[in-house]
Amino acid sequence: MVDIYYNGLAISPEGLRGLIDAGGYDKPVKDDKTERVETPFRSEKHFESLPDMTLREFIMAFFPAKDQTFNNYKNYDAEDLFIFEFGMPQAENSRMGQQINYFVSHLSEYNGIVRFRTDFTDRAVGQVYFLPDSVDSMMIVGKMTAPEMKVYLRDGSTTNFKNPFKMEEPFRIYQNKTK
Amino acid sequence: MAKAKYENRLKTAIQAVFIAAIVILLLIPLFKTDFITDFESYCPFGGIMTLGSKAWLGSMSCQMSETQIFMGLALIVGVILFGKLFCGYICPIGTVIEWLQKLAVKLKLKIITLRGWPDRILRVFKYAILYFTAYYSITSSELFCKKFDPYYVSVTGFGHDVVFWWGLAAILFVLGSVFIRFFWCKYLCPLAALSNIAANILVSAPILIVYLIIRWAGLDLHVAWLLAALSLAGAATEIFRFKFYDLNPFKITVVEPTCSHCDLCDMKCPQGIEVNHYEQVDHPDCTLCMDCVKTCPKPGAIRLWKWNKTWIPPVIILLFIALALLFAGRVEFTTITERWGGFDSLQTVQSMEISNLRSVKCFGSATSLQRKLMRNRGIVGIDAYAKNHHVRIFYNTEILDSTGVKKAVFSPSKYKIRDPKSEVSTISVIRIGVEELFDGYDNNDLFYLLMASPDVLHSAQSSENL
Repeated sequence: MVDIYYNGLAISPEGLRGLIDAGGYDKPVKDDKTERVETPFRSEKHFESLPDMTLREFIMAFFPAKDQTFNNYKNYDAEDLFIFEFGMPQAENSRMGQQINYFVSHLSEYNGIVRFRTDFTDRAVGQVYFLPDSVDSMMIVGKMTAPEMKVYLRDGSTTNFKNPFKMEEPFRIYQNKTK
Repeated sequence: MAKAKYENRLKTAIQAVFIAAIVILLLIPLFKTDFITDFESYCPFGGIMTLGSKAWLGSMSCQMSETQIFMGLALIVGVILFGKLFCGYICPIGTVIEWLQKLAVKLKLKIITLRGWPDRILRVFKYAILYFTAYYSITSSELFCKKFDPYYVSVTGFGHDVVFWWGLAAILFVLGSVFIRFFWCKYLCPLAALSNIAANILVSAPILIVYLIIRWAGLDLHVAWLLAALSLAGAATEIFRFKFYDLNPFKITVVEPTCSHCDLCDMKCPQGIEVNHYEQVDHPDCTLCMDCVKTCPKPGAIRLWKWNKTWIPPVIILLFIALALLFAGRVEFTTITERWGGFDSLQTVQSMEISNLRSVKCFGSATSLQRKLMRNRGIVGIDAYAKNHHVRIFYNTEILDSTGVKKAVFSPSKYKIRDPKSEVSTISVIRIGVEELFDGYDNNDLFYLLMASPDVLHSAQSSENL
């Protein structure tokens, strides 16, 4: 079964069936050339229309959320932690997953940062959970805007990667309520 | 001393065709970017190794198919009946060494031919290499020879299977073979050792038969013992007897008193065999290349067995290759054949065939699918044919139906095709069944099909409601 999400005002289910049953496509290869790929698919005549979604529901449904805890996160009570929230448009891109892992490793250098998660509220955001006694917002911003990320490897050594992330204002700082 | 004036054009032409074919395979990807060259497609050594792992483990080596197996069988049968024709006419390593040796002669560089005990003792190494290569290949279904095979190293440019230092050493030995006559072929090549074991059929066949009888009698004698016995017998025969216990009557024959012992044949023999010292050339290195016969200025002084027809060996080797390809096109072995879950005692087993499953492309991927299927209750067996990406899945109809089997094979995935345009406020969704959609390759194709419309945003393939 395939669930297909589409702009219903521009293409109909029959049009989608036509795409599936096309029998092949021109796949882009090197140097702006294409090659013909034959496909054996046959769509079934009967299909089910699922309820429409709003744009926000669609984005939230497929947002590649990340949530990583570290630096003994479980040892702290929820109210001990504050959250630094910032706009992180690249968090919507599922192909940035590995880069976000590097980013988390980079943040973890400060023992006072204990969790990082991405979410879609009214925009894609990154949320840094920190202990205000150990780290302040300036330190977090400095870390996040560093041109290079310092990444810890399994063998204990470190390596540097270019920091690809752009932080968007407004920033928000608020106390954590749930764990 | 008379000067050699005859050329063996037929042999050179055959060698050139095979080298040209390899060069073309190397060049095609420059012009056709999606072309993936499989340099092992016709490797007879890989075929024999995979036949061994098929017999021992029930599984074929990765990327090996019926083509290589029949090429290997053709080589073995050809060696037993006619001699080491593959080495003389087809092997690209042998051809390159021979051509470089000819160049070296023209440049007046000295080529050393080892003789006597140094020559004989060094020959043991190729049997040792064969033993370890065959042992690891047969007991793991992986081609161990790819770690050092100078042909594979060269054409793949030290491909990812190659152990760099082993590959480099092999290349250096091949290049060194230009100056120490056929060093690689005589002393190190496992395919030469395998060919010699086949040529030594009157010793090798009884060893194989005794091993099979022992296994048939219920004794679990490991294949390592068979390999050791064959290798030791081959090495001992070659080193101490310097000719094989063979069946092959097709040998170079020197006819007395027609032969004037002018030594032209000795000079022309690429293997450095002193041809006119023999009545029948039973030297282990003779490949029936016919250079000696072609060179001989006295008609009938040297011939192939009873014939003066020098075209017979090359035609025979081409015929064997043609037969191997013909059989390979008509026979298909399973890459894996596995049963579980009390298969033998079940009365309600049915099978389901799935074709064009491109993710099944070798032993490893077939085994991966098997492991995935084993997690599904009711599925009890698989036959996988990697060459044609085809699987036959056995399932217990009391537990599962054909839809359940499809679900088990299916690989769910999600693809974001593009972001919605800013003016789009509502996203429509349909759930639709698509036949012939199974694995990651299919999902990828569907992605490209749907991408053709700018209004498709996302597709999520799942086995739900299958």
